[in-house]
Amino acid sequence: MDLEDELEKAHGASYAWALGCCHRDREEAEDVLQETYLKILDGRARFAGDSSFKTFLFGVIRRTAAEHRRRAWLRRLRLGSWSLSAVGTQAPTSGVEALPSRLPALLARLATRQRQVLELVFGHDLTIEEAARTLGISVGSARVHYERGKRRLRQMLGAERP
Amino acid sequence: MSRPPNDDELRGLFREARRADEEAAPPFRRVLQRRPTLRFAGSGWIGRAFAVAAAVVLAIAAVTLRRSPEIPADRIETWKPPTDFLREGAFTELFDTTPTLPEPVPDYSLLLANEKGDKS
Repeated sequence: MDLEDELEKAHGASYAWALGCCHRDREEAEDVLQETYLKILDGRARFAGDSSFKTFLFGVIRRTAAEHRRRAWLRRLRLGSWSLSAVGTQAPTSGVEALPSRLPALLARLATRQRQVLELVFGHDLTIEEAARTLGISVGSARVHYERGKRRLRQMLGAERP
Repeated sequence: MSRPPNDDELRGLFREARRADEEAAPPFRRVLQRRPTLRFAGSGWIGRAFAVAAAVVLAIAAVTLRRSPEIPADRIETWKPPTDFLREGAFTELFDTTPTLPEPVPDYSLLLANEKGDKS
């Protein structure tokens, strides 16, 4: 398997998923994606073949985004430049304007896990089992997040519709 | 409030959003070769700090253990507790010697007989 080819093929979907993991911050998503690609290409993250390549890749992206966030938090702590606006609670930026619907803004109001499960299942056509594996949680837990997230999103979309 | 969307409509919304994200994706090569806005090479500083701290602790422990003087065996024998003076007194000899019976042994039978006679 040519890893670089596989990564290139999945690049668009990976970028969309990275955006979801980085609160739609494009710069951060690109950083995370580059770090992910380098991890896979230099063997720091190995594809064992016990899942689909996409599930593996999305899992690495999620973990890298989490590390990225942790490091950024520690860096801010060290520099003493802590501020609430820098904690990642920023509103979705340019991605929202690019989208024809208000979906990202509504998704941002869901709990992180609920949003991630819905993005993986509806947006990336993963099964709930694959989504659970990607997120490193149990299938039962993923199912609960899926049901609750879907119910809440439906309510919000129903309220938004004219 | 109108009817909430069903699963297919939700899927359609997500797909539309994903397509928009994918269209906005920068080229693969550019992402791979870009210079990150924030260098995380400094990452792992926590691990390095732990490693340095552990090395310092080990070094100090090694030096301390090597320098600690061995206690000579004779010191245990000559050691005296700080409250040893309390034992000093009129009966100190009793602690250091074994009592001996006087020779010849006195005949106490008469004494015992007198005591019995007093009681009766």
